[in-house]
Amino acid sequence: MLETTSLRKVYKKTTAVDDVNFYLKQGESVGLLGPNGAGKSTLISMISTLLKPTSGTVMWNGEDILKSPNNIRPILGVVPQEIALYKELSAYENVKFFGKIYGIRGKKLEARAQEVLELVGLANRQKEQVQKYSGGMQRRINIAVALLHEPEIIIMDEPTVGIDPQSRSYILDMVKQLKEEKGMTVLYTSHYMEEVERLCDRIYIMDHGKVIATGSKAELISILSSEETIQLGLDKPSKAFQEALTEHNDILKVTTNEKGLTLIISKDSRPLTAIFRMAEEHDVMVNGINITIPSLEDVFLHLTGRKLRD
Amino acid sequence: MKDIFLLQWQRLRRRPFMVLVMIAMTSMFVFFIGGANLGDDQLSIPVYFTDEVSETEQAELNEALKEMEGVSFYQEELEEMREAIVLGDVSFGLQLSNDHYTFVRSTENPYQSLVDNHLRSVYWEKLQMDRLTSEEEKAQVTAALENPPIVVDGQMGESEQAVFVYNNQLQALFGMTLFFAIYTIVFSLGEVAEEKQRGSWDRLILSPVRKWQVYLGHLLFAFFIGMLQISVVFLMFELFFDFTIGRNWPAVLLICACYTLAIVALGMLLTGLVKKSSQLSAVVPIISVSMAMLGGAYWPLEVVNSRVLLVIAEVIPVKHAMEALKGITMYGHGLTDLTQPLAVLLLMSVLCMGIGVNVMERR
Ligand SMILES: Nc1ncnc2c1ncn2[C@@H]1O[C@H](COP(=O)(O)OP(=O)(O)OP(=O)(O)O)[C@@H](O)[C@H]1O
Ligand SMILES: [Mg+2]
Repeated sequence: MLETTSLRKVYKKTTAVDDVNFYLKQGESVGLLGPNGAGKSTLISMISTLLKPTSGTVMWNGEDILKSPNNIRPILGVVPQEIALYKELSAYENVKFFGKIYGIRGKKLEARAQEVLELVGLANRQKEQVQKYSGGMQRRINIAVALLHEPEIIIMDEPTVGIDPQSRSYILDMVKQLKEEKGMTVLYTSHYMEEVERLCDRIYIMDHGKVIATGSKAELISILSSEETIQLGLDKPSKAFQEALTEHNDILKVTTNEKGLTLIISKDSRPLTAIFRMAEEHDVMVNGINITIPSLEDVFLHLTGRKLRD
Repeated sequence: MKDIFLLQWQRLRRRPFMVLVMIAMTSMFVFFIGGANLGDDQLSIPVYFTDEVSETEQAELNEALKEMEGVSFYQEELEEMREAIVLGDVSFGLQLSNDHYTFVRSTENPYQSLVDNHLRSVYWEKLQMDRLTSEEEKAQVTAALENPPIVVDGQMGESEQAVFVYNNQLQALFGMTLFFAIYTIVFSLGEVAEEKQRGSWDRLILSPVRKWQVYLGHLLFAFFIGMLQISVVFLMFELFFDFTIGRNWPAVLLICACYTLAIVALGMLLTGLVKKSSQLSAVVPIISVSMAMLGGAYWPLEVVNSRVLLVIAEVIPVKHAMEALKGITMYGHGLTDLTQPLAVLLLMSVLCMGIGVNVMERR
């Protein structure tokens, strides 16, 4: 088991990771969710021994990884957020090189290389230079390289950022397959709720360096079990109307979005009539209404008052 | 380490442009400044005698002028001389009178002071002779000069002015080669900074390869690519353009190796100091150009008079490499004369490398 206690990383001006307690059990897949600058990459770097924490510990099977980083390194497969490859070389040459530095040689290397290239679906285009690949293909090779030495734990930092839907769903399926068929432990970072919902047994939600919620998808949503969300489409923004809504007893929270307002109401209240009346009073036209069952997206909104992605 | 070293060659094969461009630039500038070897590399200077100078005196002066090595003088009408100077065919000319001489020039030229020195001593002797009025005295003095009662054999120490040999071709070849090598070497080290930005560095660190092995792989590559560039240029000019680097190739290569090492170390320091690899492309031209100027890669340091600049030159690797290279090829120095410049270069390497690695690891 991998476990952190009160992990902190402070840069000159920012506290990138603030007092994080986190654990990762063998065979589970854990999602790390948070907006830009939440501290996900920083946390991952510390867990994978690449960055020294300001304070706190990271333990691997009861041993401090700071003291003996070489115990955990060989079993880690880290997929960096950037395309950490030599772009003027072909996919095959990249895979070969990173295999070699792990001490894999000869026939074994060739076999492993073909295996991972097959896994990411690029075996037939392995001789092309990485810089000539599409963004999605580059991401896939980026993952392939991390799998060469058959790690037990795979840590992926936003592996689907900025790519086409096909590549994205290919990668998601692949990660699922790695977990289910190879029994790998997965730590998956993302901006995207859907991905984490689909892949992960447990989820950590981070914001401003802190873990603000954790649990399974169901547990997280139960935070909102006593609440419902109403999307109001309005013809024009109105401060007065918004304030009037905030005053109302059954309405717990009002936030603005591009189309109008998002209201969080307590579950069994029925403030709709009141809402329409207030709209009329403030001369605002409601041109759409949508009552939703909460999603993780709403959990985040609820916890931080902000959307996950702007 | 071997894998990382080999990887860099593999990558170089895919994008060899930088090194090729550097070699091309070096060659171009050597041609520009040094000129390809088209025979006559003596400096010729036009001379005009004013009317008051008699035929015999003209002959005497011509005789005295001939004593100057490496420069030839030819007689020319004043008008034509002026025109040649204006057109830039020659950089200066001389107008000689009985008791004084005048330079006709449009731009500065390092040779001017040399010629001036020579003329000064010629005229000093001439004027002394002219003082003597009677033929008798003159004959006595001439006789005495030819058969002096005491011989004062003046020997100067190794003052530079005393043995200043100016070989424009080798100066340009060495200077430009050392200058452009800085780019290739430092930019190939910039790859370390780039790897850190790109994240492939993290992959290397997580692998069983040790960090010092990763560094060493990059350092070795930078060293070899630098040596390769220097050797290719030297060989090219020696073989195809008739430059005479001489017989002492092992010594020349040894100097280049020490120089390359110093630049590799300097590159390491620079890479450690910059935050992003893109900043390196801003810093390298500034550093390399100022090192080339201060270190005598563009012009020989013998023409520099400022004490301050000469003191600064002492901490510039280019200076020591130039000195050693010129020593071997132009002044016929031997290996023992190289000890000092090479020791300085090695010391610089050790210092820069030590600081560089520390700075880099501090981040
Ligand atoms: N080397 C550094 N020096 C100073 N500040 C840093 C450094 N690295 C990260 N930070 C800061 O720490 C905070 C967290 O950054 P981090 O990269 O961990 O966020 P993230 O959750 O991975 O974001 P993203 O989704 O954009 O990748 C940010 O505010 C960032 O500016
Ligand atoms: Mg990140």
